[in-house]
Amino acid sequence: MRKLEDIPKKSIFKVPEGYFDQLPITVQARMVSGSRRSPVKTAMSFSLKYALPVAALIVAGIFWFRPEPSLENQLEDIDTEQIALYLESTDRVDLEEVHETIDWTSSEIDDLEDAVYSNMDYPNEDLLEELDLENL
Amino acid sequence: MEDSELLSKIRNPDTRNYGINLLVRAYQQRVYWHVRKMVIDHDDADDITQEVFIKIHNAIDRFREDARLFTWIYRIATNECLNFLNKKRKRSFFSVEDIEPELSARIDNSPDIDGDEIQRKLQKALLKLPDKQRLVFNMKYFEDMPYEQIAEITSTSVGALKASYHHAVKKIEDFINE
Repeated sequence: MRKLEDIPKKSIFKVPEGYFDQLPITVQARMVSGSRRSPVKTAMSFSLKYALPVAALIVAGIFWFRPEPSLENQLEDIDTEQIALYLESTDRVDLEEVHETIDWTSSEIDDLEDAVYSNMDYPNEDLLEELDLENL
Repeated sequence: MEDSELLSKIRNPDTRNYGINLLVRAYQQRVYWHVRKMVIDHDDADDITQEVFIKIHNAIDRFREDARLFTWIYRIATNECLNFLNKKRKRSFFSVEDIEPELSARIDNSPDIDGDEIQRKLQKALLKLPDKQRLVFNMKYFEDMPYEQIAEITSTSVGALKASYHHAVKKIEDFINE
């Protein structure tokens, strides 16, 4: 068991050569000029204290206020082959399944057609013309 | 030179600069080593020592001789050390509490520090102590300062200082024997 008194009492710290000869001159020069010794350190601590939080706020602001990319832009980024593969794998609709699910009577279908056509703004002539053109 | 003679030179405008120079020369080593043992790094100790003498210079006209000059200077140096260490903890990015690993690494790596392994280990053990207990230990163990004088500097009772010192010794010996 080692005791404190077993350790030789000695300072392990060193100072640069001539430090204590120079120190009174440095201190008195500072007293006269009123300057701080470490302007670099002060500038550094100032920048760490204020500039870093401001920079962080700016970066956060850029992300926060960045406009959402439009659907067209998002689609442009996707490869056509990937879209085709996706549709092939997910968009298969079984017609029999549809018929089983939609079991409307003919009068219900007529009502639905009437509702669709009554909401259209097209005059009948325009509609006919458009349908004809599409059929060509 | 007696403190009273030093003070009268400082208070006389014709001899003020000379008086300040004498004061710095008289106390610089004691202030520097008191600070250095607390902050470990030479550059930090140099900054703080200079700052202590600037503060002394700015406040010397308000110094009342009801305390000894030596005690007053040590009190300023002690406050500067404690403020520096507290600020360092606040600046520390990874931890608001612990600067001990950084100072401990400096003991191992700084070219301004030598000594054999056990003396380095003693310094690292001191870093485990709270700042005020380390101050008391340094003043008693390294500077051989009487408890009464430490009590004046730290505004603490002699009894509390004795207890603090004995606890410190126990903690240091436990660390050394780990």
